[in-house]
Amino acid sequence: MTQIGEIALWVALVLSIWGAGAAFVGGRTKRGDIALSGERTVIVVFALLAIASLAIIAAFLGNEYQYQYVAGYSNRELPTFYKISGLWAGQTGSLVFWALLLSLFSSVTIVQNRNRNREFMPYVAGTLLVVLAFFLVVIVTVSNPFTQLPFAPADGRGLNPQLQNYWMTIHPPTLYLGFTAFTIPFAFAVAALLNGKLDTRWITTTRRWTLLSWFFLTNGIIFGMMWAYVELGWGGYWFWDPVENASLLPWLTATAFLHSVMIQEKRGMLKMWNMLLVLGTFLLCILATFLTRSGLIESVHTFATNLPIAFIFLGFMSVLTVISAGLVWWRRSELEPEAQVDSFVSREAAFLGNNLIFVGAMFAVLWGTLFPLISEGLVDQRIAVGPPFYNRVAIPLGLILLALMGIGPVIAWRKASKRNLQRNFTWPVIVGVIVAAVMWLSGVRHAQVILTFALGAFVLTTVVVEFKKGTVARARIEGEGLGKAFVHLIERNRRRYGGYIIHVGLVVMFMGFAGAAYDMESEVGGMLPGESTEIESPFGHTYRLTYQDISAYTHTNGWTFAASVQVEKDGVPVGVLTPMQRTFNQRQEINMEVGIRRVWNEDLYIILAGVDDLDGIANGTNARPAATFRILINPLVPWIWSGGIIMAIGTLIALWPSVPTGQLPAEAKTRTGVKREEELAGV
Amino acid sequence: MSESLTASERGSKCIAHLVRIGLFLLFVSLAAVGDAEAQRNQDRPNADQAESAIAQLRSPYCPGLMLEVCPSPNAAALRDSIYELAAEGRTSGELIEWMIGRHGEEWRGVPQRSGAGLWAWIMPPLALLLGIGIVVGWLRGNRTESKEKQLAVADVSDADRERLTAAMREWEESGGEEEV
Repeated sequence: MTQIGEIALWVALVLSIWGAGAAFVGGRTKRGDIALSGERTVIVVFALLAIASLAIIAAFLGNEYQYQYVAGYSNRELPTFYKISGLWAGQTGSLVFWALLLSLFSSVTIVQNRNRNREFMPYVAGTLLVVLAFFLVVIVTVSNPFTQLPFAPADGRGLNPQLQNYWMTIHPPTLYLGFTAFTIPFAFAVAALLNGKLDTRWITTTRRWTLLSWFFLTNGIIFGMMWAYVELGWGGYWFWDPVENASLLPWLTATAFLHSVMIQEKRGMLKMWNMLLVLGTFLLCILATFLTRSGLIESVHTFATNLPIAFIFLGFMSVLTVISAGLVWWRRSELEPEAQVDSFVSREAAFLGNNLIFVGAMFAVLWGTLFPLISEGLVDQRIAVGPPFYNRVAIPLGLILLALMGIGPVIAWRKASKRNLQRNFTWPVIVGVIVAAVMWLSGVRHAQVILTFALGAFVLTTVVVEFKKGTVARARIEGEGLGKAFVHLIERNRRRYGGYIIHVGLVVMFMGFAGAAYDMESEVGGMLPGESTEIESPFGHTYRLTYQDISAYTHTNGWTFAASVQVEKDGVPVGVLTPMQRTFNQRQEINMEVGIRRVWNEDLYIILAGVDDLDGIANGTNARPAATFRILINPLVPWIWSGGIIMAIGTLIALWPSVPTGQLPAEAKTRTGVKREEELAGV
Repeated sequence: MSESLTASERGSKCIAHLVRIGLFLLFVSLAAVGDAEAQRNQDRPNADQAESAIAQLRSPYCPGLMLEVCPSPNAAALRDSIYELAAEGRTSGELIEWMIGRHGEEWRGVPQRSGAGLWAWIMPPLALLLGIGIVVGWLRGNRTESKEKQLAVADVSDADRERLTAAMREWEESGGEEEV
C-alpha cells in the first residue's frame, strides 16, 4: 500500500505540472480540448492524493516504523484515533493533507463549473494546479512521508503529548480547510486578471467559497483557543503567539473582504481593493504556513520546525507576490471604480472604515510578529514582542470595529439623511449609554470593559431593531404570524440576517474577552491532602478548595496522576475537580490536564502545577504527596465559546443555499390572496 | 389588517421584554464585578508594581510563554522573588531591570520605547494614519469629481426634481432598505 502511495505522489506531481500547462495553454489559445484536459487533471490529482493519504494512514495503523514519519509521530500504544490523525500530526503529513484538501476543493470547483464560467475555468484550473504542483514538489523532494530509515525500529517515538487532545486533533485540519478553501477565490481572482473579465462575476461565483473559508478559519482559530485553554495549562486561550498570529492574519483580511465585496456588488466600487484583499489573504495563508513551519520565531508551537521548507515557502510566496502585483498593475485601468463615495456618512464609508481597521489590525499583528526578525536583521538584537504590545494596539482597534459593527449594517447607502440616522441609531445609542451608566454606577471602573459592554449593547440593539423591523414588516405585508415571518425573513435573506447573527456572536465573544480584566489568580505550593485554600470570585462568592489526594494509574501510553480537589461555593459542596499530570512512555515530557468547573459566567480553573515524588505515588510508597496548585477564576470565558457557536450558526445560515423562487411553498400567499409565485412573476 | 397589527404589537412587546431581561442579567452580573477590582492582591504590598513587571517579562523556563502564565515551579519562584522585591518598594521598571540583569535582555517581553524598540510601537499607528490619510484623500477627490459631474448634468426640470424628491422621501420612509 505504501509503495502505491509513494508512486501516487510522483504521478500526481507529473500530472499537475502537465495539467497546469495544458489549462493555461488551452485558455490562452482558446483550445477547449486542451483546457478540458487540464481541468480533468485536477480530479485525477485528487484521486492520487487520496491514495497517498490512505497509504500514510495505513502505515500508521500498521505500525510501519521503517518510515521516518511514522516512527517520529506514533508508537504501538498510541490510540487508533491519534494514529489516524497522524496524517496531519507532523509537517510531512500535514503538507500531504494540505494538498489533499486543496485537490478536493479544486475538484468540487471544476465539477460545479463544468457548464458555466467557462472563460474563467482554464485559468482557475491552471492556478490551482500550480499551487498543487508546488506542494507536491515540496512533498516529494524535501518532505517525503515515505522516506525510510536505515533500519526499522521496534517502536516509534510517539505523538507529542500536547497533541494528544481532541481539540488539537481537529484544530489543524479546520485551519487547513480554511487556508485551502481560500485558494479557490484566489484562483478566480487570478483568472479574472488574466482574462480581463473584472466585473462582479468572479466575486459572486466565489462568494460561498470565501464564506466557507472564513467559516473554517474562524472555527480553526477558536478550536486552537480551546486547545490552548485546556491543554497548555497557563489559564489563557490566546497568547499572541507567532503561530496563533499567523492564523489570525488571513482571517482579518478575509473578514475585510467579506465586507468590502458588498460595496463592489452594490456600487461597483473598490474593485482594485477587493482584488488586493483576495490576493493578499491567500499570500497570508502561505505566510501562516511559513511561520508555523519555520520555527524562525520562538513559539509554543515549537514541535514543527524545518528551515529548508520555510525558505521554499518564502520563495513561493515571493514569486506569487510578484506575479500578483504584476497582474494587478497590468489590469489597473480596468479596476477603476464605477461610482464614488457620495458622503462620509454612508454605508460605503462605514465599510471603508471597517476595512481600514481590519487591514490596520492585520499590519499591527504582522509587524509585531515579524519584529523580532526585523530587529535582529537591522540592529542585530532580537527584540521580543509580547502580549502587552498586541493588547495595547489591538484593543482600541477592536473597540472601533465593535462600533462600526453597529453602524455599518444599518446606515443608508450613498448618503445617510438626518432622519435615517435618527430612525436607526436613537435606541441603540440610548441603550449603549444606559449600559455604560449602570456599569459605572455599579462600581465598574475599567474603561475598556465599560466601552466593550456599552458598544456591545449598541450593536445588539441595532440587530434586535433590524430583526424586529423586518419581522413586523414581513408579517404585515405577507399576512403571516410573527414566528413564521421571522423564519421566512431569515430564509429569504440568509446572507444579511446570517451576518447579523455573526455580529451577535462576535459581540458576545468580545464581552467574554473583556472578562479577562477581572481574572483572579492564586498559587498554593506544598499543599498536603486534607488542606484547603480559598479564592474569591469577582462575582462576589468564594470558592473553598480542599486537596483530597492524588491517584496514579496507567493509561494506554504512560502514567496519569490525578489530584482530587473538593470544591465548595460559599460553603456548599459543588463537586470534585481532577487536575492531572500525564507522563508518556516514549517522551520525557509531562503534560497537564487542567480541572475546569464551568458555570454560565465564569470558569474555576485549577492547574496541578507540581507534584512531589511522582515515583513514590506510582509505587504506592508515598500516601501523602505534597502538591502545588495554580487556581484561577476566569470570568466570562464561557461567553467566548458561546459567541463562537453563535458565529458558526450565523455563518451556516449565510452559507445555506437560498430557496429558488420556483421552489417556494405553494401555499405561500400574500395578504391579497395572490399566490407568491404569481406575484413574483408580475401577474 | 388589525389582527396583523396586534400580532406585531405583541411581537414588539415580546422583543422589548427579552431586551429588558437580557439587560437585567447583564447588570446583575456586572454589578457584582464592580467592586472586585479593588480587592485583587490586597494581601501583597506594592503588588501592582510586581504585577506590571511580571506582565512585561518572558519566562526563562517556558519557551514562548510570558512569566505571568508560565506554570513551571521555577517561574513561580521567580514571580515570588519579584513580589518580595516589590514589597521593598521597587518600581515596575526597577523590577524589570533586576530580572533582565539576572537572566538577560532576551527575556524582556515588551519592546522598550527607545532605540530600535521604538519602531515596534510607532509603525502600527503610523500605518493606520497613512491609511486614513489615503482613504480621506481619495474620498475628497471623488467627491470633488462627483460635484463637477453633477454640475455638468444639472439640466433637470423642476417637475423631474419634484418627482425625484418625492421618490427619495418615500424611499427614506421605507427605511432606506431594499429587501424585507
